[in-house]
Amino acid sequence: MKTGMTVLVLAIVVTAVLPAAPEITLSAAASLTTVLQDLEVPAEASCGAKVLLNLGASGTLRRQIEEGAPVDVFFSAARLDMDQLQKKGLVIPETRVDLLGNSLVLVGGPEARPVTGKGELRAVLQSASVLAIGDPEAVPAGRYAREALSAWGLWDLVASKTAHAGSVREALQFVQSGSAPVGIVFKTDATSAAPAGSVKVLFSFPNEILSTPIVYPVAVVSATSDRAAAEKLVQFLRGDTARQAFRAAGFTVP
Amino acid sequence: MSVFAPILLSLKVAAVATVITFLAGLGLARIFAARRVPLRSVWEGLLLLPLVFPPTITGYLLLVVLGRRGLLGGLLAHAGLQVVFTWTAAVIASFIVSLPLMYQNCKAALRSVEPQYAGAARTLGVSEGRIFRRITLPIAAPGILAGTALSFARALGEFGATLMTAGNIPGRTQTIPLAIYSAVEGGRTRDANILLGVTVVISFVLVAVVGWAERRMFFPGRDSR
Repeated sequence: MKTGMTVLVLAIVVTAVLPAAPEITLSAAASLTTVLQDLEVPAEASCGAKVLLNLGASGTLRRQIEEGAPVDVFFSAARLDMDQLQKKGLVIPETRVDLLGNSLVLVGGPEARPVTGKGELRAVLQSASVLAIGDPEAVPAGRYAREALSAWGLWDLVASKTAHAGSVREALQFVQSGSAPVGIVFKTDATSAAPAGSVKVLFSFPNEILSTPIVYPVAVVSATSDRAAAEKLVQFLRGDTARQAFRAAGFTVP
Repeated sequence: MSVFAPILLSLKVAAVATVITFLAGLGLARIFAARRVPLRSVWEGLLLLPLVFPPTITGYLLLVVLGRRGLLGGLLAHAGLQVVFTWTAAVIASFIVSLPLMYQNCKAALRSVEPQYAGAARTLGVSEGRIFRRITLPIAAPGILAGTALSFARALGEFGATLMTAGNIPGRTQTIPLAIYSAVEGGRTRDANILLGVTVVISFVLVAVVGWAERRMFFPGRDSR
């Protein structure tokens, strides 16, 4: 007990007096969690500063920047949030890049059969008891799902039996746990699902049916305290090392 | 990711927040229980708001106040202080959401003390401060202890307001609940499960400590059984 307390007190003291190295804060969408954590070490080496990752829903991260939180780089899962910040002059427009792309997929349990074509998709959706999607009002993946199904005239078929999830990962959980037989999520969510094989990709929606492409924009925040390091970090995210990691995680890199 | 960083941080944040909540909650309860305060229901209503608000809303309001564009945050920024995205912000968030629990428990505990005891002491010329420390506080102790335990538990589980004001920065402001959220979002089920297990252990330790303290209070000298 006594040694435990000593260790605890020591740890608290050590974390409190850590030396202050140059730091930049990268606010990034929750769906980028795994891949960005893997890239932390090379990212810090390339921009010469400690990179602090702040992870959350793109809407939350946007509001933090609006209220003056000390963020240097914003990596959003949706254009909408970046557009709103740009309109208010809170990000530097010339540093903005559409870095990643993603696509929508229909997922089901491991025993479900793959779907080929629009006709079969209609049949599957018709017979399914529930369709799990992100809340279309708040979750980008849900918004895209509604748009894709509307474009093919399938939305009315499922509108009354969609289970709205608070995040795209939650929608995936609905399918993984068997609560919903099918769901619509991003391809990267389906491939990183754990344990592997607990969900199966049944169908991939073509990106052309969406009026706004699924892109992840990144930009330097206007209020940055270290613009040079922030720009170096964006450069790193556009570089080969990062591109390989993003591709491995299932993103498309234009 | 190390699972130790969020555990240490959570314990640190919850401990510091509980100390502040204890002092503020007990102090406010003493004032409100003993004196006539003008606009009393307005102050009490304000105090209880964080209990009614969803934590994300509390967090948003805190962010508006503490952010660089906010009233308080602007002043602090002039002094070179940054609260948002630090563990101090996590302490403030935990303090605000747990204060109503501490306050309500302390108020009920202080009210339950029979005024005759204090009256008797007063006739013997004992000072008000001494009466509070030697008579009221010991009798009210079980209720105050319950409030403290609730506040600590609430601070430990705080998620929404912390995510908003302290951010979710691993190793810096990522407490256990935020780390579980990130682990689930990132598909790291193992880390999520470990942290869940740790939370359960902390809860049981808390219950055991409170039980031990209660036994000491009700049966002083007999806890060596």
